[in-house]
Amino acid sequence: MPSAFHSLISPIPTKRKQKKKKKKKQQQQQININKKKRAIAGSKHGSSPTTQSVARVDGLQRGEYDEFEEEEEELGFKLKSSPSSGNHFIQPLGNLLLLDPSSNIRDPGLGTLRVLSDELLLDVLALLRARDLGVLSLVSKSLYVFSSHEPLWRNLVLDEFKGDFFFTESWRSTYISAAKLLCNPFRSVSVPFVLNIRNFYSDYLFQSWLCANMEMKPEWLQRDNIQRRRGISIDDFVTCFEEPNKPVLLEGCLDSWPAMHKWSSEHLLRVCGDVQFSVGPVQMTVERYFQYADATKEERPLYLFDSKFAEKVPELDSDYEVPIYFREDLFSVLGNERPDYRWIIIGPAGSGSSFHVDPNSTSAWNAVIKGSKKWVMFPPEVVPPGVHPSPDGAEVACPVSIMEWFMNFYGACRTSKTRPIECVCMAGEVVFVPNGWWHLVINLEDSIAITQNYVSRSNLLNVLDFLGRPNASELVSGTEDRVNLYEKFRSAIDAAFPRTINQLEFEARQKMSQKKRLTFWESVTDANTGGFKFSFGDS
Amino acid sequence: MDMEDDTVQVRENSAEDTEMLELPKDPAEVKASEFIKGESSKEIPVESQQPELPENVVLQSLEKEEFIIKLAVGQQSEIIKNAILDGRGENPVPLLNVSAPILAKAIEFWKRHIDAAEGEDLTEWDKAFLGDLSQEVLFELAAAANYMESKSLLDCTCKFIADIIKEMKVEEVRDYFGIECDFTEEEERKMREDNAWAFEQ
Repeated sequence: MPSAFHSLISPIPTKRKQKKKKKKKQQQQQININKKKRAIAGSKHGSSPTTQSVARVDGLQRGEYDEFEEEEEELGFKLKSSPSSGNHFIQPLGNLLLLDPSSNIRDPGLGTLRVLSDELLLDVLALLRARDLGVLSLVSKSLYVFSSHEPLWRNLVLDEFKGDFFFTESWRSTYISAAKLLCNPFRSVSVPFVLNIRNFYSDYLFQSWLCANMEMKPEWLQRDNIQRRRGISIDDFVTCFEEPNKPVLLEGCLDSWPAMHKWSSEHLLRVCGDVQFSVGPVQMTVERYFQYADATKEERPLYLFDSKFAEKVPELDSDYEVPIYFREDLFSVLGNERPDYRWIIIGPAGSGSSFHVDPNSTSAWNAVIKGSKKWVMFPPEVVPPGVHPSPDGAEVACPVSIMEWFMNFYGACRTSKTRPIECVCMAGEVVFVPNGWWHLVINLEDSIAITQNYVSRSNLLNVLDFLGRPNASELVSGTEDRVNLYEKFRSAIDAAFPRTINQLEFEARQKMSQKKRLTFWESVTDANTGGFKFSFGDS
Repeated sequence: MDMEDDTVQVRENSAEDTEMLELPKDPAEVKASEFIKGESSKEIPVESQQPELPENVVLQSLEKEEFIIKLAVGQQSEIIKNAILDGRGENPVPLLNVSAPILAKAIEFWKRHIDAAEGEDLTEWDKAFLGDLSQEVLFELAAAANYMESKSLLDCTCKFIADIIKEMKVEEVRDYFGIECDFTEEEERKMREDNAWAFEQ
């Protein structure tokens, strides 16, 4: 599974602070009053699905922690124990219902800019440099909230410093530190002033904050309806799963992998701490990446995803081997010219990949070495809710992050006719992703995995068909030479496995005509009476 | 399949003059009749799976006012383009979030861009066009471009607004957009300390 990933958050639950009972009753009363009001009024701002209460972002003082827990109950979500930075209260618009709308400090703080939607304003701010954002954060509290929006600062960091940054608690402070260090290496980074902001309501920013700080709901993790097998033969795998193109979770395949007992964070730091790996749009050392992954709380954390890991660190290559089921790997006939086919995947809880279909019509296997992943898969003919593929299939738009997808669309899957295949894949297990299947994956904890895409005889004709399409230059991925890949692959297969393609095509034609014959006979028998009806030309 | 990276590129600001812009006048009311076919414009070949496309498209503003424009002009908006491809181009395409004067401005922009010669640089024209608008109209035009999914107009208006903000000082921003400061003195002082880096040379 290549490419960029929309990611999510949900860390391993950490130790909770001590509760203090003082304010609890008061808070609960206020929340109950709000609940009643909302029930009477109904929601005018229907867009925000679940948000009903104040979300405090950072700057939590000790005595206020119990308020925070009350908010959790209201929200129905578990929040991370120390939420992400951003020194302000953001409230969803739903909270504004029966209050005087003029109490929302958003609009007065924007002046004439207030007619721009939150998203549009952020689009404008995305064109500004750090200094401009710094200036804006002093104009008004409202503009402070907007200018502190973390994704803006992430882009600034990645654009200016690429992978060469030391992540400190937030992208904003990371940028400022990195920029300061450039001009004044001896200056210490001061503790940021915690600004207390009240009465700021915005669905868009609240949703963004929520997704950055939420954990996966237990009920999203409950359904596990994938087929599981242990120790089956290769033939059985091909007959039961690969040929019919069905997913399966395989247990026990990784027992012989040295990686299983070797690959801890400490080990990887030792072996490749200063090696640059692909992380989102940039390259980072593993050391810097781990340091970032430990600290981040975002809606879409950066994901380490590298297709050249074996070349960069040969020792990693010898720590794993392809499970027996997947050793027929026909793209290997292309040698060095084969498309990208194997990746090491490392990411914190909440990182992952939103819905997509793997490229070049290949199948894939994904082995979890450390951690665990939640999978949601739909068969090729079923487009997942919330996903919009372009007509030619060249692009897949899944505009929501993984957490938003679970919040807004997962429920629909329970009632739809074609339910997805779901599972949680634990360390030591392998998921087989048949070609063409939609899949979404999210790490439930810090995870390390290896994935490979491959072509076997079961899938060869599909792949050739895909590569031979007229718009191959847009659709084919993982190689520089898209247009010629079809020709190269075809001739290489013919050279290495003469007549295989012809044989497969022959078998396919036979299957097709068998199907047709059955249909004819079915059409001439009268199923109801059991009698035989001779009717030509009737359908 | 390659997923689009969700990061938005931050564009480097070019060395443009940063003098304060005069508050522009309101645009004159624009009538639908100005856009009726009869004006010549470049024929742009249209990608489509439909065998026959209408020559003109009728757009309907918030106030139900109708604007007739050429197909190529309207295709600069994805919403309008999709409406045409769905075969609804002959009937008014409702653009209920866009008021008539704003829609007129959008159409003016699209027309100029369609009429542009090959390789013609419209940057100066764009700046003059947007510079003529009042703040209210400018921001509503940006919102309309967003709603109508017109990338060229959206990019242009966003960049223009960003350029206004760039290089402005705190007080200038407040003055220009009519924003009252809601920090206490103490808060403002601490914020300035905290953000001193933004004010250093």
